[in-house]
Amino acid sequence: MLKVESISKTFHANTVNEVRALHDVCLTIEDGSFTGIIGTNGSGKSTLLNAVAGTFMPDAGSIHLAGHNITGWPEYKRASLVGRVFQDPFAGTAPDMSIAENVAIAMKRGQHRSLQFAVTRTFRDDVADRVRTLKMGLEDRLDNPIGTLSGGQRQALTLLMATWTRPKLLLLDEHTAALDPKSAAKVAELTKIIIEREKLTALMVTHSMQQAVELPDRIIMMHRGTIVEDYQQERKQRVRVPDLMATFDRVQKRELFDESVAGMLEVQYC
Amino acid sequence: MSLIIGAFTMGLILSLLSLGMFISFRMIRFTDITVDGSITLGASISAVMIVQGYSPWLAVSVSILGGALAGAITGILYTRFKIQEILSGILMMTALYSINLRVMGKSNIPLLDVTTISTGMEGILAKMTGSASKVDILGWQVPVGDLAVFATSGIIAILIACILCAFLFTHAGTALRAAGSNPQMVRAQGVNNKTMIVFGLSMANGLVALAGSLLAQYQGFADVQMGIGMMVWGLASIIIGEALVGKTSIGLTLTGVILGTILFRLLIAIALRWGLNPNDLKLVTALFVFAALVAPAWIGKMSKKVKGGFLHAES
Amino acid sequence: MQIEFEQRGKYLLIQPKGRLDASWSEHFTDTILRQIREGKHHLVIDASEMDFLSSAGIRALLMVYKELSIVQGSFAVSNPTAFVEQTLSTSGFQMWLKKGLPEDLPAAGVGGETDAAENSGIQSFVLNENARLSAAEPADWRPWEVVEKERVQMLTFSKNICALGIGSAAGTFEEARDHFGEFLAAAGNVVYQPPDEQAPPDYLIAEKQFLPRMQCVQALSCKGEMAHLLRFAPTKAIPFYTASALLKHILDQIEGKPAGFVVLGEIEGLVGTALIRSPGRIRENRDMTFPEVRDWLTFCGERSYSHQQALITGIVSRAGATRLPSMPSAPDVATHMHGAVFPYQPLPNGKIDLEIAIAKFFNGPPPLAVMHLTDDDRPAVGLGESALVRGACWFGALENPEVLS
Ligand SMILES: Nc1ncnc2c1ncn2[C@@H]1O[C@H](COP(=O)(O)OP(=O)(O)O)[C@@H](O)[C@H]1O
Ligand SMILES: [Mg+2]
Repeated sequence: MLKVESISKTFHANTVNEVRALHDVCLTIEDGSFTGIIGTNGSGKSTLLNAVAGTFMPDAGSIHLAGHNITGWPEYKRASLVGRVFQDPFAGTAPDMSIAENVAIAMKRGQHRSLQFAVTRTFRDDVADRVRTLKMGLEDRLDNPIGTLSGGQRQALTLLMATWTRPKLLLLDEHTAALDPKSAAKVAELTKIIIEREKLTALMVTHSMQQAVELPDRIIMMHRGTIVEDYQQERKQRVRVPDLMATFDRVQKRELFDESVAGMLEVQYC
Repeated sequence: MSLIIGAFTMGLILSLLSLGMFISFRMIRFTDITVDGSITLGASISAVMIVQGYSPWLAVSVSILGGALAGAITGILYTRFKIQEILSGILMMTALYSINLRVMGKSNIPLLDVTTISTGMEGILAKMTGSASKVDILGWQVPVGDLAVFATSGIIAILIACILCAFLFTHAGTALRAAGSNPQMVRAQGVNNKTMIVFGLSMANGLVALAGSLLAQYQGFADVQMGIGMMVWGLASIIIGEALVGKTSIGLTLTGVILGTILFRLLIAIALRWGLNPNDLKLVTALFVFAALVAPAWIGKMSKKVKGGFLHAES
Repeated sequence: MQIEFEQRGKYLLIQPKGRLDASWSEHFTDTILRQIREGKHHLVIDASEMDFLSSAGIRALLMVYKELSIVQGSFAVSNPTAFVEQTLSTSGFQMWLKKGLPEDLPAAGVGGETDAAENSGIQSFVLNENARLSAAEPADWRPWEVVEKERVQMLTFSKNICALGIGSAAGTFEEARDHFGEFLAAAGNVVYQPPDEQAPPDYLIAEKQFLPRMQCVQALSCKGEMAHLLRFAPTKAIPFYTASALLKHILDQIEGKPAGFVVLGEIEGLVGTALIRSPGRIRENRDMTFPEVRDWLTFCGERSYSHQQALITGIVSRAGATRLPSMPSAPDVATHMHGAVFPYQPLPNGKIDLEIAIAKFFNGPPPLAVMHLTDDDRPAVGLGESALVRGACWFGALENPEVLS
């Protein structure tokens, strides 16, 4: 279970560039649930994921994951509990190392890295088996540098790597956004399959409302560093893309409703 | 012939420097200037200990540790105190200048008639050749002493290269390589990339100090100035090596680095023989590295083979 | 495919050149529907250069035909090529086929002058000189008073009433209490916005014995018959009509007397506000200030619902003649109006009947919103007033304006 309690994060505090990226965000994610996060650009979705992943320390608040208080843990330590796939297909793999070596690095996530050879024959077979399930023909290219693969193939591999040892939490930050539509669909499908098969707890930022409606079983909407909507259970099942659009619209309307509007309506609303 | 043997020996010794720099410059991608200081550190520690009568092997070991410590400090300056890469190296290098003077107590220690690590090998060779002072190789007379140093450095260089190569394929080694290739990725995979930098730098400078130690024993002296320009030499060697074999596999590249260093020394020996003023050597080397870095960018900007990561992005 | 248009008298002559098949049918329909929207209701398709017509193409023609029949327009396919003639007649659409162009089609080059006069600018009709319209204000809640049960009225909206206000369709005051929201009524139909941002508007239609009834906390109503009709359409000089412009036309025609009105028209942009929390929840009389007022009202935030159709009801007078508030952008005009938004449907041209025209919308796709229209006069950031592109406005002078003063 992930429990985010009142975390706040302000970038460039006390300067003209001050951005309140997260403001008093509370969020509880039950084990085995798959949550989607949507929101306008700059609403703090990535910042929330990064706060959970430990890319930076929040200004306030606490984060508990799987019974640990991980608030002060550095990023690499949290990796023992958290698997990640980034938006940038180049971010999740080491380009000049082979597929097998990349997977070997992922296999040891959160474990001691010994002086034994990383890529053994049995391990290669294991990688080949699992890579075959991606249905991308990569099982024949295990020794090729990952840099030679397409963005979609990389993201699929990164997904496989992030889930190779079952993480307590899988973080996906717009991991299909940088792909062409066909690869995006493929990676989205793999995401669903893997999360269902491994019964993973996952948190996925997505720019695609369609994806938010189709993949996860809960949708959170963020705006200006806060959670403004939370569709769970029956509400989530009922929600469709136009409803999400309408909610966006509402949130934005509320924001445009400022003091000057209030003044105008005081005279005209009667 | 002794010229060629000399160049080969020098090349083998300095290939340890190149291997060390290969770790820092190519694996963790850290432009490490500590090298100029740590090679002298290795030389001075060894010289002092050998002169004082310690076993040369112990001297070598302590030199390696000294170099490793220096590298680690550079790494810590960078990771912990967030000082820029180059500046961290410069700070450490500058500090090492004084430290080396302290270690040696003066600016130069001669090593004459002392036991070095090649003394044992000399004995073996003497037995094999029946105590002759010179051996006939393909018609040339080569002093046994030179041959012993050559053999010892060769064995050490090859051994180190093999160990290094094996290490890079272990779990720890893969993590080290990945840390240089994609820091964000290794953090996400639970590797502390800062630790990797510190570790990589200490390994690299340990090897560099080893090279310094062997160099002092081969040359017969340690000098506080001897490190100047070593980094650029190492770099030139790596570039030549990569040009020779490409970057297709680690094993091949390590071999290339050794061959590159030897070739580089040969080229220098030949140039000196042809009348190149030794004072111009560093200028020539610098020009060579400059050309090697820039040429690929000029030639159609296609080949990234030699360029590596030494040019920074245009702003 | 290339489509050329030529206005000839009341007719729009359309010349599609090439194949009308699956890959072009959508483009074809969109292009023609846009013309219909602009008020061109008599279309003649000159098919002399239409090489090919597939089933998708027939479907496109059928959609155009259906749209035209809604507005009582006309449609013909003239001079068809042999292929088109055969395709259409074998699939049962021979009624569209005409050998030549219509006889009353003016010669080429005459242009659209005759038609433009009819279809652009303002046209006025007197529907019934003896029609009478009387006003009432059966419920008069003002923001942000506590809603008292005694002051809430159950009102029934028969076909001769147009009204606006705040109410709920619930049967009793207790049930209605948490559901009061903006509504408007016209010709026996009521459309009502529950005070919930996520809920779509609801609507009630008079049918047989049933007449819509609302529990109203606030209501302004006009009972009777509208004496006048105003048709408005854009011209080169006037691309759209603001609310105050339309209201001034009304006042001009009835010598500035207070009037009740109903407007149906294509939206250029609506500006308005609506309750998102029922006034029934107010616990004490007070001023509602920012930011709390945001929990009670939503504001459109931008000129909204462009290209949809608005149904607006309201009351207008010269400023000062009634206690209606005056419009900031036309200080001598005072009004209170509510607008409902429906998905676009074309209106027939000319003199049309209020009840029939409105019924089409209530029987069509569901409404999108109901709001209290405002005139956003904030300096720099103001959204301005609501405006319509084309449409119809029925109105009549009130015989008892004193009830509003
Ligand atoms: N490392 C950073 N330094 C400064 N500002 C940042 C940083 N990360 C994010 N921000 C700012 O915080 C806000 C939220 O960003 P982010 O979480 O990336 O939004 P999104 O919802 O689009 O993922 C943005 O205004 C962004 O500019
Ligand atoms: Mg983002």
